[in-house]
Amino acid sequence: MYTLLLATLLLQPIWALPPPPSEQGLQVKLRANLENYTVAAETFPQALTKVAAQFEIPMGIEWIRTSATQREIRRSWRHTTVYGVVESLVKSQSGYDFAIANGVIHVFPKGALMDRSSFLNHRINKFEAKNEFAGVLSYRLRELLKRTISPPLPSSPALGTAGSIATGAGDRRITFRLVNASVRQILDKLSLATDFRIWIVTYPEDRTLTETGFRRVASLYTSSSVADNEQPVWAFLRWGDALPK
Amino acid sequence: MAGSNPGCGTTRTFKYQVRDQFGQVMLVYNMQLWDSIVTTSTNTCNLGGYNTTCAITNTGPCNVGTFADGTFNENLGICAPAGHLVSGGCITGCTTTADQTWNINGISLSGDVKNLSYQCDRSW
Repeated sequence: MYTLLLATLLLQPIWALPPPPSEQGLQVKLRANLENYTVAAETFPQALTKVAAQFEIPMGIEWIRTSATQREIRRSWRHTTVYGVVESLVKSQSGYDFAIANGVIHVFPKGALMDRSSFLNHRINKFEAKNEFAGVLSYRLRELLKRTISPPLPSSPALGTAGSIATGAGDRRITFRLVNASVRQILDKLSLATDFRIWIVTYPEDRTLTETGFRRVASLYTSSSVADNEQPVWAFLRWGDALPK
Repeated sequence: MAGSNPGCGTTRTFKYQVRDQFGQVMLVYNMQLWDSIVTTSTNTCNLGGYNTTCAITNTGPCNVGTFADGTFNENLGICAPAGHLVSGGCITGCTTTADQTWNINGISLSGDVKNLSYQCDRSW
């Protein structure tokens, strides 16, 4: 049996931030020539994360958990570029598209960038981080969204909440300020500031809306549905992290 | 959580280190961890629920792991309803006690449950 030791209070190391990949840096990576390249993956998102990891590409993935996206993928290319691989993979899935913004490749169901029911397009008036761990900021962002997506009923008793958020490997303390940014932009920012260079939003096949008009999302980690009062959820992965089965 | 907590959004930060049953530090990178919290006997802060490490409360894992020295950070916070916490202090003092159980690499540390006390002292 393990035991936990409460070691120190308020004594986190201050991590040196690596320079975030620039838009230009990403373009250079995408233009890299490939003589031969093969990807073998159990699912569409796994294929994308493998390519992202192999070529160190920051990636934001929005995918719908369908039988089509969960089919095995085995593809090979000759005389192409990293961009060509991404393009080919995305185009092989009916109804998906990709775009580059904020130094991140975004893969998404067609129309998602303009979908007003997507929480990722919801804008936050001001989102600030002052030397805080990205995991804590991700939690704070989610709490902000929950107030809009699943506000407490007026008749419900005034209940409070408490939180416990653990952060560890790959996370860093960061400082930034974004004004009128979309949730997608904020996730990009959190992703680029840490080792978690991939973020994933999973949609269930049954694409329904909450009472407040937001598209429900699913969890990457469980096939159970996510209750409205837990919406929305997302996941961060480092390059090389395995996707949950 | 020791001490008072003046105002919604204030957090307390801890650092934990995972040790084995012999008390030896486990210098293992990326041991997956998550926690669950349940209220015990006192809940005058009227807390209706908890947000835990993984997005869906009291479940895991969710790709949060230890640093290479077996440590991880924890941030505890409280947001109580109107009547208790306001910006800068508490109108009425309150306390909620809860048990927190950590799960490390799929093992529930049921023998090392942390007794949390969320407390807001009256400051108005």
